[in-house]
Amino acid sequence: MKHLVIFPTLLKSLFYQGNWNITNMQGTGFRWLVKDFFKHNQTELPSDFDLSPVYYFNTNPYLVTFILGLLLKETQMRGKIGDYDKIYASALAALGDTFFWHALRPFAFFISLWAILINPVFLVISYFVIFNIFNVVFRILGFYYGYTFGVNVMQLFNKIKFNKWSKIYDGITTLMAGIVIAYVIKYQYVTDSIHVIKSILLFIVGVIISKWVRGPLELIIVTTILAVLILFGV
Amino acid sequence: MAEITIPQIIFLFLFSGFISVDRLAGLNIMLSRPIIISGIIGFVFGDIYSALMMGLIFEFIGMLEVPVGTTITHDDTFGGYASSLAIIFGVVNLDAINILAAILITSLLMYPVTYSDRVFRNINRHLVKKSIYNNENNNEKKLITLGIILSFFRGVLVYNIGFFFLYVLMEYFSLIELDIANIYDPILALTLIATFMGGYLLRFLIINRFHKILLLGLGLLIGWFL
Amino acid sequence: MKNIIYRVDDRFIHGQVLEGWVNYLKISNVIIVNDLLAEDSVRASIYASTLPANTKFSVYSINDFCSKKPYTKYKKKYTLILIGSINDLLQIKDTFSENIYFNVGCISDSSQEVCINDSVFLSLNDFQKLQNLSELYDIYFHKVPWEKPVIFSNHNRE
Repeated sequence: MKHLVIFPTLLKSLFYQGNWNITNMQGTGFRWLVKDFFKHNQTELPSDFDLSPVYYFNTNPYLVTFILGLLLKETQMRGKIGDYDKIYASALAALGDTFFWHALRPFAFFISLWAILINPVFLVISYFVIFNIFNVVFRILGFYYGYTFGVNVMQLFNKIKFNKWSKIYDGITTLMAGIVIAYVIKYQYVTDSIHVIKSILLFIVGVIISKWVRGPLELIIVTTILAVLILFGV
Repeated sequence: MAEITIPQIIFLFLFSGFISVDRLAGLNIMLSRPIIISGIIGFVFGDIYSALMMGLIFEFIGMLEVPVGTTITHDDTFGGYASSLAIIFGVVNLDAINILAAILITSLLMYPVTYSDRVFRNINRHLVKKSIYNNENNNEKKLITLGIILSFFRGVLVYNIGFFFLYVLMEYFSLIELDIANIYDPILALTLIATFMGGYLLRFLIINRFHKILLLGLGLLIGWFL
Repeated sequence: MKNIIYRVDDRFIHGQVLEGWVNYLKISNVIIVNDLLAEDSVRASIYASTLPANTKFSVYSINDFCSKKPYTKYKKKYTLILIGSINDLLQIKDTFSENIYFNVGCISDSSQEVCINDSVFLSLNDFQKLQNLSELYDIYFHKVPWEKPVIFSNHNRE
């Protein structure tokens, strides 16, 4: 792989959302990263790059380095970037949000939950490590693959079938959730068959009510109230 | 409750700032996740199991809300922080009713704390608009540094004030005499919540319904006979 | 929610759209209506690659969309039609009907005069165009389906 100077920009990429706001989203931070990355790789900024404070940019923070790499490549080859910053910002936001926020967090939760049986510290460490392995790998490799593939970097995501990863991880999460729920109910709650029936009813009521609440926080509030009522009858 | 030392209090103030930065302004290394927060707090104060009990519940809320675009998700970081501290500081008795009460009060407090997230973003917006108005260029580093400092102090202030309210309210709650308090194991509260929330989790996951039922069923079988 | 969703979003496919609409509503068909993208297969393929494997994706120019009305093939399933601007939306007004859910989700030019919510900024001209459109159809301004929308509606409409 071509030698790229990535370390200073890699560190800065951890903080580029510091000025997140609804006017330009991550625009301030991304301009900062582009200037830094191009400076360290001895390349003039592209002639068509918007340096104004209103420059709008928003993407998934774990995939931003792909965009930096591809913009550097485009600039070195053509001197300008067109609208590839916007297109890839949107596309990688879609892919990244679905994988990192939607799929990876529950996956890391259910996989690391079992560590509590050994030592609760391992639970914390394993959650942290599972998530951040992906964080670190994507951030570092993003520079190189973005630079290597340029505006065709989406071919890499197609090759590794990245748009399927969320479903696969969600499938594993579903399996793990079933194991955890059954294990906890059996060993912590069930003393006779009536408790199994109550658990099943509770689960079904949860499925039904989840369609009507706005979000998980509202559901927790409903749950705690219901749980207190249930305890009176347990 | 063990005695809280000055270094532990200093640690709490710094920690509340860092988790706010991780949530709002940078890092994104999942330090702001309730499960991590409760684990660290529990480790520092010597009661990791109790702290993790609360962290696991708020982690459940947090992972079911996706921060896409301009959406501001409910501040589960505060949820994990305040509820873990409440258990460590001894205002939450380790029984199901008290645990549920603490979860309910913390959840309600999450609304005003989440509003402070919005205030933070509006301040950032104001700073950008000011730089547009003043025609300032090349001030990215200044704006980002200000944002990080702001989010740090927001965490220190808002999270600890929120915890103070939780502490006071749980102190009042502990004065109420309930016949069924101290009867049920705290894990019962978590089991009830997890079972109930399981339905929401299932709706959240994006695999197709047939695979969902199949995998869930298989998981339940494995878990039952484990 | 109606099965055919017309969403005005100048970013087309991004996190909100995929997570908030495609995955949440299990949308199986996504159509982008845009003259530039219809002629640029490279850019179109970038967007196509972000969607789940079983989601059908197509790009139409404005004229082709109006003449072919491709969404009529998928009557029982959700179809999301993404339009890049209010002007483009009004150019396909021949396809409007009562069966369409009009959503304005993201117009990110914050220099515009009218701020509907934190992701929709309209010029006065576009604001008035949408007001006129709302005489006939309800228009919902929200980023994601579970968010409470701002609604432009004509209460005198039968």
